Amino acid sequence: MKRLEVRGLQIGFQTDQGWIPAVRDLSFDLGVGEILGIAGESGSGKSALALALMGLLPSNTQVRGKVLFQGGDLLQNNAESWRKIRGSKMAMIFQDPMSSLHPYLRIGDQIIEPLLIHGLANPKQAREQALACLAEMGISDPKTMLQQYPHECSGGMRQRAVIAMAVLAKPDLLIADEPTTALDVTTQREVLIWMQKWIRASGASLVFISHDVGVLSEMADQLMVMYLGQGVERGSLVEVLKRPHHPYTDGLLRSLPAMQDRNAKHFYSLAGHVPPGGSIPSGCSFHPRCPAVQDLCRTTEQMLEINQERWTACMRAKEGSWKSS
Amino acid sequence: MIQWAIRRVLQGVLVLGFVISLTFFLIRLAPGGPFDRDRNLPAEVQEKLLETYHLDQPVFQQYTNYLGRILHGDLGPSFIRSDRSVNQLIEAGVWITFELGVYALFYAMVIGLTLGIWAGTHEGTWQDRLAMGMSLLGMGLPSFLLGPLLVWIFGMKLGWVPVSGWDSPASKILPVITLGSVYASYLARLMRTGIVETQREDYIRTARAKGLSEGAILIGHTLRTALIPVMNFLGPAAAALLSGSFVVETLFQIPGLGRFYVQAAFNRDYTMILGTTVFLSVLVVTFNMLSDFLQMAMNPRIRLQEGGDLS
Repeated sequence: MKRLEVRGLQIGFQTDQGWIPAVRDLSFDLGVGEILGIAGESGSGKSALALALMGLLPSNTQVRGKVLFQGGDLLQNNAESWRKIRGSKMAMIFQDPMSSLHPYLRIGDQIIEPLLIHGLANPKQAREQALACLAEMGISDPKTMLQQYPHECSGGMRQRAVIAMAVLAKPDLLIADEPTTALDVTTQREVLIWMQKWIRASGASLVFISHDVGVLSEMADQLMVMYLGQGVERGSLVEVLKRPHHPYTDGLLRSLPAMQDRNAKHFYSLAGHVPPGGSIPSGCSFHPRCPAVQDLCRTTEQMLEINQERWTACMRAKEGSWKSS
Repeated sequence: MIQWAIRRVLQGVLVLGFVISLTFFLIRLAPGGPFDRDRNLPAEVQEKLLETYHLDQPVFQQYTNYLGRILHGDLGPSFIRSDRSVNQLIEAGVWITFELGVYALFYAMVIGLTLGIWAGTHEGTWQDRLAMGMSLLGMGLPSFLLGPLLVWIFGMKLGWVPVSGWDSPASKILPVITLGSVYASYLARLMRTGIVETQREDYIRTARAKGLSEGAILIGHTLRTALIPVMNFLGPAAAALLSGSFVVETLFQIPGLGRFYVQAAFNRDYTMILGTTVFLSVLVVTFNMLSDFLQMAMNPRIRLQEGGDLS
């Protein structure tokens, strides 16, 4: 069963230098209870995608395509219908817990706000739910924490507050944009494990965005790799990790420290850089950095679909031969 | 926190002491005395007068005497209006001045905050430009120009309101607008800037992601932060408005404190000048202090930094 269907999504920013595409013709599905990991470097359009799913992009942005969620196209929403589903049916966990919490409001009041405004609980119930949720996440003194202000809490506590704020209303769709990047490794692990458990228990679906394939490989069921605003590969986590079809995915995986040969003298890294905003190479947009580039790649791009859940944007994946070339 | 409050109060007392001393010696440095203008008094009467008011003593002794008196709240007798004490004279004028100030402050807040919120939430649109144009006009027009202009239009041409005085409600409209407009303009700018800056913050996006309506975001989240610079300004503004305006009171013939002050200065009425100065300084220092305390209450980050500087 599908929870979210994205079809032909285009996102563009209007800037002084003209029109800059952030997401180009992106289509993907997300099943019920599924965790979809989205990997990509900065500039791949993954954060723009997250904001577009929540309808939070600034007004100088143009969004086209379809985002089907619970029988309706989110992109057709007016302010009122956005207001109704945000925080109740879908919620977002932001990247930086310090700046995304209001500095002058108590943590408790911020956490229970979604429950109150959507009429899902009275203040007393909401407070109890928040206490239970924080305690479950390993906060030793959740009662005190509810009374505190963000600057009085540690980074790990703030991140848990942000997560509690998103999950308390039991949304069907959760979008997390680099939710653990600001944390140390131990805390990061605890938070990830808790999130995974929560998704499994609640049956919600999660879009988990990260530049860190290592983190994604611990969390996700499905993996989508983005490059320059396009999805270049999509498949189940195991499939993609074991048999990457796209040279970019292959490069990303090979740059993971854990995947490297212990005796190698240098870390493997992808050659070249992400081209600056707006300048999209012709043909396959990855071809300037691709180790397996052919003449045809410079002029044409092609999507190779094995099935709805497994596809890649590399035309040479069919031959299966680019790895040896 | 307590430590900080005590330090803040001591600071205020220090400022008061400095203002009193400076005023005391400055007016004595000014040429002329209370009893040598327009009067050809016989030498012995002059001497007698100086003796009565202890003006024959060395200046430093006069100074310490004066300090001792004001510690008991006694501002001394008026030199010119010998039948009344300075305390009585201040009391006669201060309520009218306060009334004018309270109305002007209220007017400035209602107009300024409304205009500022309107402009801030419509950033970059014609509404924004219109509101900020009005505020620029309000800041640029000094009261000695705005006052006569309003009197000319609404008092003389249209005849809607009296041109001077302070009795009927209608007579109070023009002085209040004249006095309050500059503050309304400043408040509008501060409010707008606060809102525009706060709206760019990540936590406002968080509030939107929770499903709050734009109105709820403004009241519950944006204003929390955006009001802080406004509060900072409100203390000094309240003090300035409550202490009245010589210009406005003179312009509209309002028998408030400001007019006494001007008269006292012309007459070299030492105790009256000093008394009014002391009174107004206490007012200003108190309001600044109150605004600092208010800020503390609003901003938990400041609340915590013990002894933190508020500047």
